[in-house]
Amino acid sequence: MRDFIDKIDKRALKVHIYTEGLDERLDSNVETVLYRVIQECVNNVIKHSGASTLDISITRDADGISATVEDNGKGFDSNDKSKFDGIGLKNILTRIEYLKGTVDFDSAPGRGTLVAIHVPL
Amino acid sequence: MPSSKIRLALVDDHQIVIDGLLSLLQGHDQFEFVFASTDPASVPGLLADSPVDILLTDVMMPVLSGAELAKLVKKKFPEIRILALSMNGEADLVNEMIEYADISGYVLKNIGKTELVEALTKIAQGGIYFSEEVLKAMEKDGQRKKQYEDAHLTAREIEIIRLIEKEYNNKQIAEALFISERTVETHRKNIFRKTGTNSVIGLIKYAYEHKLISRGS
Repeated sequence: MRDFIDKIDKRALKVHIYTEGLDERLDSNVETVLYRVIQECVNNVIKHSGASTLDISITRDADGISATVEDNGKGFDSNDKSKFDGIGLKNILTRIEYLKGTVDFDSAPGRGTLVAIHVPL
Repeated sequence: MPSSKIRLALVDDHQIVIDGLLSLLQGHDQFEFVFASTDPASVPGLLADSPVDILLTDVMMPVLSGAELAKLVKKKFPEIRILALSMNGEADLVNEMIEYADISGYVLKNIGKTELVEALTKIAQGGIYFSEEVLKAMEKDGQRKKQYEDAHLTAREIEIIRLIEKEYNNKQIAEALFISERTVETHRKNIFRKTGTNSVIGLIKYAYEHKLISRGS
């Protein structure tokens, strides 16, 4: 995951990343899915948000794994279901649902976007 | 002969402060008091008629604050140097004066005679002067800002801290912000971790200290 973040670090985007409780490797299935999903989230931030900072946190505790990806970009209307017809967001949802997890998209035009993912272990 | 004295003007909404400063500088012939006023709004007009080198101004005054007055004076009379005098050396006030009004100095009203003369002399020569206490407050403020930067709180997290302070529970926060309780819980964990606190009380204290929330807001 860090390798991937390192690749985008050079851009005009300021990235803060925080991880906790990830010393042990995750179930490889969970790991791959999470990696892809976060990658997709970060790609969205770069491609669409125009954000200047990005906060990523991934923590593992007794409840499971929580990941948040938050930017300060232009946001979108997260109540507008048509936005979820695209492949990207739908993909995130189905991948996490497959892990029996939940995804929260919290965004509004002009306010930045937060994607909060929770996967039980 | 053009005056070689340092010409001063003084504005403070309390006459007693003006009287005190006048008596403090009595016997120091290098200074010449051109005028003193308790009404900051009258100062730009007075300065147009009677030019001075240094304007000593109070910071907290009704009608026209020291920062606004200093800004106005700097715009109309850029050659006049401004020394702010205040009871309050709070970094926010000092920063406002520096950033918006380009003041040459800031001293507290508990200043002694020697220090005031030193400040005025330095400023008249084109230097700057800040009281020790003011410098300390600014330094502390700088550290606070740095710490805050280290914490990298996001806009959403600050919003949630404000709701926590209003004694909202997770469910209420979730409803207020249209997010799931699970997400609120994640935010909470992130906030406690980033601020290095582990209780609501500790967090609220942090938030006040870092001016994330203000009393009465």
